[in-house]
Amino acid sequence: MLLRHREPTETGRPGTTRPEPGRRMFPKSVVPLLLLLALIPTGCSEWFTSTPPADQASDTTQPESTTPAPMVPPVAESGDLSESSADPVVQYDIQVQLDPDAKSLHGHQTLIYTNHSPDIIEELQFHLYMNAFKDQHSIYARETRQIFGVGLPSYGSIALDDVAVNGRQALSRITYPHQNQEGTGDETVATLPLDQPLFPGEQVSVFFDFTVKLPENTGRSGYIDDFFFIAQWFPKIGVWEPAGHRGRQESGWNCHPHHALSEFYADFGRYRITMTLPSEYVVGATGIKAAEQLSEDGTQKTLTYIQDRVHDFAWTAWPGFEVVERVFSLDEADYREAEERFGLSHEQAQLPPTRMILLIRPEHRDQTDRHFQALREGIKWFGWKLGPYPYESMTMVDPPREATGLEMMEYPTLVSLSTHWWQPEGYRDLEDLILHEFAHQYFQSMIATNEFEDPWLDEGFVTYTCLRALDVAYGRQHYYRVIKQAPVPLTRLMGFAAFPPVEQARYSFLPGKRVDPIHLPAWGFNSGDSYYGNVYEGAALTLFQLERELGEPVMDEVLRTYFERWSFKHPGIDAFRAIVNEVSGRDMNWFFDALIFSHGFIDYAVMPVRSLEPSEIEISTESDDEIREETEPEFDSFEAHLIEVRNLGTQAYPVTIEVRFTDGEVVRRDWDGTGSWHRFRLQHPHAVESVSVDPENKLILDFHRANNTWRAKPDQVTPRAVSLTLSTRLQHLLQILSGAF
Amino acid sequence: MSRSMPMPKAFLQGFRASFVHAPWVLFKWLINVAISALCLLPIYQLLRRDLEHGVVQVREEGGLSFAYFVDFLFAYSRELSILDLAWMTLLGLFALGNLVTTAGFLSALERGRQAPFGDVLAAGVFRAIPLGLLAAIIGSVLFYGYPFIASAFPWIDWPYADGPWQYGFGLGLALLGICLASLIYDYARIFLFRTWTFEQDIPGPVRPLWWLVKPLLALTHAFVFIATHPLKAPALWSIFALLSAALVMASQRLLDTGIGWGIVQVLILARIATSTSALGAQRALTLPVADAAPEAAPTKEPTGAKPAESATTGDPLTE
Ligand SMILES: [Zn+2]
Repeated sequence: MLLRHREPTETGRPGTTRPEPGRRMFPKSVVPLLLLLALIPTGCSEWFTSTPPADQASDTTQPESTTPAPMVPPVAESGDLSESSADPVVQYDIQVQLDPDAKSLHGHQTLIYTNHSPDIIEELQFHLYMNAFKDQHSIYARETRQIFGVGLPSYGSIALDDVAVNGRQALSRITYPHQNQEGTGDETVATLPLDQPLFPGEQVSVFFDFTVKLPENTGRSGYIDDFFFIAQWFPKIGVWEPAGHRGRQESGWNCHPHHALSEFYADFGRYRITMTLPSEYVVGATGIKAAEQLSEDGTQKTLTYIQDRVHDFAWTAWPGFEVVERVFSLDEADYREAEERFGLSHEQAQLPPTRMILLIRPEHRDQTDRHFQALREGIKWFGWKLGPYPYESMTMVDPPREATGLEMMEYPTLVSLSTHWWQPEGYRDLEDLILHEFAHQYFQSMIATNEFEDPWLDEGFVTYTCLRALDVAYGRQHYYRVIKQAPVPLTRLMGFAAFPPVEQARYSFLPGKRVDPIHLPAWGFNSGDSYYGNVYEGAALTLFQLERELGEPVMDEVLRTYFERWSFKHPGIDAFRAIVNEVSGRDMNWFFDALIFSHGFIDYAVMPVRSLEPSEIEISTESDDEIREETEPEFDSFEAHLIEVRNLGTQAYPVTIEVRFTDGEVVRRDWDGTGSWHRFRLQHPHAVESVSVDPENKLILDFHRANNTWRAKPDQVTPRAVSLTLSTRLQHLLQILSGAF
Repeated sequence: MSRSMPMPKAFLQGFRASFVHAPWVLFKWLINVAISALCLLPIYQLLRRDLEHGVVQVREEGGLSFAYFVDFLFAYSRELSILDLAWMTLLGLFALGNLVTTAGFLSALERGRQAPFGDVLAAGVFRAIPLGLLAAIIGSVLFYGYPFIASAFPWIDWPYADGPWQYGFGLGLALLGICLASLIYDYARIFLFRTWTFEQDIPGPVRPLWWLVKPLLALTHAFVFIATHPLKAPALWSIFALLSAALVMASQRLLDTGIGWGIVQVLILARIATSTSALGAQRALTLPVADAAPEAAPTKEPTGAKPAESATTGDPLTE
């Protein structure tokens, strides 16, 4: 959090990959000495608004052959490419040797790929992610330069030493579709034409002999000193998508090159990884350790990890880890909580046991309980709201302090975190991070959306659910600003009350000058900040808005249904939208059109009411088209009241307008929110007490909520009291400063 | 080297100075009230525009509503960024006003109670310039010196510090640095406002130039004094620093309980008096107080001097 902007920003600069928690909060450009007024932002300064040069923009979009078609309805709702059959789509069997001195891996990989599609496949496509770090010509390097202004800080690569298809040599047939004519450029995707087409239901076995040179402390995977975090490391087959899948028009491979901002997409399958490395290394990995063997001289060890129904495999090795393992199980207090706060019976609240594994640095030993507690809260919240966590284990990794390019990333059943020895009790950064990364086990690891094309479908859902889980487990919080790694409770010092986690998301997102909608492919955003703002907090706030629109029980049902139907599959936005419509029983397409596919901001405001004397009424009624409402005059001496609500924003959202009269009568009107204003006249013998737009306070996206109500009787006391509070704080601050002069 | 005044006496002298020269304390307070009022007047107007007819929860249990201020800041971001400029100016005025009042206070200490107020004020205005220069020297040494030191000794910046010891060490070092700078600054201010005998011989036209050199001399003098009084000077300084920190903390606590404006002002005044008392006490420790030691204020008549006291409060450089 601040939070939230979790995954490394991929600046490629060691030490800068972790956005400072709350980086977008409390912007720098304020009168520096007025600490009290440090809350005042300059609005857009935090958001890059520069447009990339046109040639660069085309540069990044050029390699994309498969563009998303969000508005096309799915031809078929079948994204299930793995579950129904005995053989999953992919079965990886890899033996890998880590050479810690050379910072390299050598692997032998056998992949059995099963064609579960109705198509005949004539070539295979593979991700060779490590080639993103091969040279400054990769798409990743070019985009990193363009977005963050720096090139690759360190190099890495994956070389294919041998390739065989069904036992026959195939290395010479490998081509790189994103290379240019000169044979240079991006090599993160490899195409392997098959000499015999793969018919529906058939299998092909592909063997790779490969060598990986790991980059140093960048891009989510690599090393620093003797710490290794190894991800995106093996030749990984793309996803074959039949026509109609996620709105696709034609069948084909979905195998994007590695982009600076995007994450991943892969098919589910079975992984069996055997790694050999020096025996002093402590290892954590996706899945469950099935075997461990020491070499005869005791210097090397060989470990085997296996996991079913996952779409990726990552692992870590470092001699410095301490390993703590606990088993998740529910106790009586949990069942009580399930009943009281989640409305679940003892039966319904059951959750399977999970092995919770923590690889922690010794100096963080005292935070062991906090790690497990947060993970427990995650397993409970997601288990009860969406469905039980199905895997046997969940591993948390606490990387060394220096590993800024390798932290805060999620993989199936394994996440890397980040903490600091000083974590005051009220500072929930660690808990937020653990809940965020655990939420990714649901959104992306199980509900395997395409992170290249629909980044908000995982990060937005993760941020939204994480904030909800955080609220349930830890309640209101203060904003901590990290100064020299010391978390300072800034809002508390400035005299603010603790606030619900969602307010922090509002603060991070709403001030941004929006130039992009939420639904864009990862490489389609105007800037890194636009990507982070929209995909994380923007999407999360929009989901909160959807929750307020539908009501929490309906939203929960939507999430549960989404998980039930789409876990271990590849949904797109249409799948989610269809479930929203179905579960709510309403046509909510307008919501997606207004808030997901277009951008802008919302601000409704009530204008002061004009109450007309009877003599004035004639004049005003005859010419005004906009007077749309008129109640029957029931009294001889009536008053007419002109109610006006304005839309000061750029987006429209249907709202309710509530008028309260001094005699207690309440009148409500609906407005579809379009146009820049809406006016109507009410006739009533008593004066108007107040007018509210959005009286139930549902519009969490409304930029300025104070103007949502107008009351006739002015309140002088509150502004004065607030100013006085601020003033005395300022006086104290000035008074301390005066010592310097 | 001289024997300096015993500490309890120095304390009393300090508090006494704040009472004797109360107008300067009141001036400081007035500047404080005026600038904070000017800073917040536009905020009040914006709040009024927002809240007078709007209904929104601004105050919650535990303080102001963060949610409301999020909206407020964004709704008025344009106005507030314009106000940034105004506030910069006001802060400049604030600094200037405080320089003058501090210079006036120290000049009053030098010249004694009997000096005509107008003279002391004029001296204060004139001497605010060297005082500002001194503040600027110390400030820029801190500002530019820190990154320099941190680049020479990166562990000071504790980029990877990850344990209570490294952290405590780094934090302690930073705090120590700030305290030391502040201690040196306080004593340099005092030496800036003492008159050396040879200053009388500086010809009139050159005197303004002399005042530009004097801050450096005062700094050197402060170093020498602290080095020769390594216990007393920091001890006296720390006691006052702790006292005012305690006052600030207590009043901050009281603020949250919603006490009245008047009581807040009394607290602020008390804290301002603490810092002038600190200056008074430190001066008494280093130089004879004018009222008590006429020889340090050649232009003035002695007022209630005690001969025994002046013997123990000599200026180390003039004795
Ligand atoms: Zn994430």
